[in-house]
Amino acid sequence: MIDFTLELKKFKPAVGVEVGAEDLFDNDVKDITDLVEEMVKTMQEEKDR
Amino acid sequence: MKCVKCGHNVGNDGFCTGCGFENKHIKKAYNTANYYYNLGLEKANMRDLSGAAACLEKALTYNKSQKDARNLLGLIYYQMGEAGKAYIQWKISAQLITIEENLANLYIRDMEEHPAIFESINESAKKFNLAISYAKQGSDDLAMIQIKKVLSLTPNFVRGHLLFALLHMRAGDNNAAKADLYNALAIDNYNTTALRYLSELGEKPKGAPQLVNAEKLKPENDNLKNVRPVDHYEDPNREQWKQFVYMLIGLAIGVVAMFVLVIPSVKAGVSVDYNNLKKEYTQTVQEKDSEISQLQEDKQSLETENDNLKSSLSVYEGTDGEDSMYDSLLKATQQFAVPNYVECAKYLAKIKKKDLPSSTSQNMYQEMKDTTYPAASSILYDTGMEKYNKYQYEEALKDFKQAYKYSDNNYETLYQLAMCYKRTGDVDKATQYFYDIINKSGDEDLIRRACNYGLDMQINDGKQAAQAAAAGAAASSETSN
Repeated sequence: MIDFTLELKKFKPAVGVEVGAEDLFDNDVKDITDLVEEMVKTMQEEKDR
Repeated sequence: MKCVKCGHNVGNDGFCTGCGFENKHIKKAYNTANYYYNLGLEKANMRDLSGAAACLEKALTYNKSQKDARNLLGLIYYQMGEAGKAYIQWKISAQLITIEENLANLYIRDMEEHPAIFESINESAKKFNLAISYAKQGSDDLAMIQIKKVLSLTPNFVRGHLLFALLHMRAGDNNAAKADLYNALAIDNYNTTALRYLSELGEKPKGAPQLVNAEKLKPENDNLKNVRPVDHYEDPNREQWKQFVYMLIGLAIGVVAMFVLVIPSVKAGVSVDYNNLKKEYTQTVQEKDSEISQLQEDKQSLETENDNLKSSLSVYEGTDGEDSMYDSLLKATQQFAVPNYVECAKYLAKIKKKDLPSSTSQNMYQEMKDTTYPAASSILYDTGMEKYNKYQYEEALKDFKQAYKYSDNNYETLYQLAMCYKRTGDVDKATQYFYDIINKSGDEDLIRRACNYGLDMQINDGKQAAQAAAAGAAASSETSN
């Protein structure tokens, strides 16, 4: 039996094309490179201390 | 591939040529990204669009700079009716530095060359979000209206078909829901949500639905039989001036309806009331007129009766300090006994025979009058002549007046009376009396004297003048009547 309320919650808003350039890239996904860069940065900071 | 630590190139062994940092995990991640991209591409070829999108999104979590994955993800989104998401992916892709030409630029240029497409995408997104909001509030009818508009603008919007199907299912219209779900599956052949909903409805699609033309994906009227016509619905957030105009039109219609329907009925009611009131008023006025007429008759009758009573009373009581009839009768009797006929006649003139209460008194009055009046008239004529001959015309006039009053139309006395008037300057009255003598007396000698001495005319002229005066008097009398 479908829980209509729950199903409705799964519907996320649609996106238009009125998106600013900053929002465009800030909201982009982080990939492995980002994670490794963050890890390296953290390790470098710990080493500097 | 660049080193994540220093940005120098990474060698085939996975170590940075600049800093020597080991980049093999990154290389592994890029390989995984390529794997998911290939998987996504395969699913896209099978028109498992939602599956392909999931794979491509995962590929980007391993390598967000993978241009092909982004471009393909944009295409997948575009195919699923989510042009906004596609545009974002292509814009990010266009920022990536690549040697070969980036197809994303071509896609973006195609979109940006047609502002109407942008408008349509934004409108569709707004209406879809509004539909979700209505659906969450329980206003399914309004949500369906919005969804129908969304699908008219974007027939391949998979999530729109799914939401439409869900609303139909909640409304109990399973056939419409199935149609919506098959529409969704026609775009995204293996959409898990659509398949799950169909399973709930007891449907098991045998194979992948055929790809259908976008126009055919627009909602059918049968699917909307429990939805009000959208042509009459306006987004409350837009074009508020239209609402104001509609309000004015409604107001105008209301005013016209009032004038056409309400006021005539009110007027008719007032007219009926007015006629009834007028009828009642007329009846009342007629009744009052009748009463007034009756009262006037009563008043007339009472006044007549009052006059009679006053006359009767005057026999016994004098009025205005004068003698009563009895007093006058007594005094007349006394003067008759002397005998002083002039004085007696004066008292008798004050008495009205009909007012005397008894026949005895009336007989007594008549007997005295028959004797007294001729005698008094003769005496007064004689005294008048004496005064006339002495040129005492004013004094003579009084005596002749009395003498003529007591006489029975004695024209000789009237002649002398007229001569007195002539002598005293009252020619009109004198002339009138002379005409009476000429027309009525029949005494030729008297007529001659009236003509010659009274009117200073020849006899014939005097007669003609008298006749003309009598004719004129008769004509004026008829005219006045």
